[in-house]
Amino acid sequence: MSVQRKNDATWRYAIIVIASVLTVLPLIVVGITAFYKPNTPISGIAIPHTLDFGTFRYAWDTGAFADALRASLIVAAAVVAIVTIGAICAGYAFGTMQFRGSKLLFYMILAGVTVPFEAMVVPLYFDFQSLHLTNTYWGLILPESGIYLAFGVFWMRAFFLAVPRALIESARIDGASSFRILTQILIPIGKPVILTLMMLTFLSSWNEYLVPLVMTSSNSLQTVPLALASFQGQQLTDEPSLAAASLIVAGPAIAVYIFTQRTFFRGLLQGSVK
Amino acid sequence: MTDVITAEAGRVPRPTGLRGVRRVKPTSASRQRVGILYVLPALLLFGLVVVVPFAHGIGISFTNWDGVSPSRWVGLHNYLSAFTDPIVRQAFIHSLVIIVFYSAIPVSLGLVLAAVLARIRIRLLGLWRALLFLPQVISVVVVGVAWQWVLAQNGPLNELLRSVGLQSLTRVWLGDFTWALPSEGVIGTWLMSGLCMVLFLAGAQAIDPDLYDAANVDGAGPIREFFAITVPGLRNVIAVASILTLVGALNNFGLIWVTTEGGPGTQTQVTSTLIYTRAFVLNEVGDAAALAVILAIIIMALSIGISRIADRS
Repeated sequence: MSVQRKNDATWRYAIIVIASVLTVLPLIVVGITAFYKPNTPISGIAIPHTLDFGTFRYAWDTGAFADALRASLIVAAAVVAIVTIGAICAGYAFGTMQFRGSKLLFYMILAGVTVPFEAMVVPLYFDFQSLHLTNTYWGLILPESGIYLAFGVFWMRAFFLAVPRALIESARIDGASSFRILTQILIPIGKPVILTLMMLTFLSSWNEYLVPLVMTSSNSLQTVPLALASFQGQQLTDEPSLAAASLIVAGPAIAVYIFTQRTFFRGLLQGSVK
Repeated sequence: MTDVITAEAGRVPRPTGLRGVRRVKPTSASRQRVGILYVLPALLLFGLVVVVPFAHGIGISFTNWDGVSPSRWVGLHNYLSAFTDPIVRQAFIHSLVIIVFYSAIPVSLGLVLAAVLARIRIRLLGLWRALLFLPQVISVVVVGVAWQWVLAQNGPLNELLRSVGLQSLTRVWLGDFTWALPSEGVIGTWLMSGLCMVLFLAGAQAIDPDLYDAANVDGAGPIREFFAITVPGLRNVIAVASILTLVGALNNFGLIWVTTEGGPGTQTQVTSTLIYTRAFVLNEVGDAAALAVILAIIIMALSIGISRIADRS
């Protein structure tokens, strides 16, 4: 390889490094200020000389993040369970069975992937109000599940379509019921795809802002993004406390992301590039 | 069981395949019912949360309603006034600007990166990919808090400008009448570019390297190469990335609400914040519902258009 070719490769390589750094930089610049004492005046990029974890404690207590984390976990767990089961079953039917109206129903659900929640939120709020579901856990769980389900069905259908027909047909000839084929053969093969869906759903629910903003007014149901937003309203200029609170909110999502990213990217890139 | 299936589905027997085995069309009555049963839970929930409210929203959009007292039928009035209302027009124009920053720029950046890195074996690809995708994992409220600080009076951006002697350019970026909307846009570009780059990098590696070698033999320059090989090879990825970022651009209520609430004045008011404000702050529910219907139709039309273009070429 000539020197020129090699320089060329280095130059190209630098682009992806710069892009990655620019992506993370704003988050790091803010993250480090969390290690200052609350209410320390800060300007520019301020690297703390000592690590003070007291700010996390302060933000945790003042922002009532313990309650918010509990509410967020309850909602996210229920949403992940409902979406995963609903999407696997519906995706299985759309991907491997033909029944009357299957095309039409599928396109209807597909339309739900692109229509933003902003377009549904107004009537949904009044519908749920008349069902007495606002300010309840169900008022968060059902809307979130319904919205993410559209993508989940689309996602799982793509997986079931890609499964070799012969596999399903031979199991059927052996007398396996459709439920057995699903649980004993297809779900084990689809583990990475299902895990990716679960993780995407968890992140969507954990980070959801508009649904809880509209559907709840009581503090006990505040999920973490709402708790952070109202904390921000109180601590406008307290940069270290805001940064600490932000890390509390982003922490669990980032942790899940780091632990699952290998499987996640395999599933994600398979699904979206094909 | 098998007999029933052949009797029902095989009214016109089609002796296909080897050894004269009759191919059974998998549409018997019992399997019909099974298919519906599997779809039913998803369908019920989807109906409750998406279809019924959407239909209800269309109904509300023909009324004048404050959300509490009885509504009054006004026909197409809300739609007609949406088309003449300067505030609505302003919000749609702002949304177009936001689409440029959220969708057009990130997709272009992703394409360029893919073209530059198309034939290189990238070391530590997993790490760069994980970092580039990170903004997608974080709550928009956190993103909002972070960027509000970056763009604040004493924030890193202004400090940087001061340190290089550009004092005169410093300002509270999100509070500035001229700069608030572009600032929101830059946040969106930051948010979406990594996602596009991850998608395009994966797509570029699926392009057959022989194509590039053939182009080199033919004497094609980098620009010819880009339009003749990279862009066509990434057609599907371009469609996916365009739809994802477009939906993200029109779905950006959270970020704008957390950072500016549509202000200063109405300088960052976009369609989503306008719908929320009209419905839940001003109690103009009928108007809000009409705007929501218009927004939904636009997004569906754009998505269908993009996938059509991707399919055709």
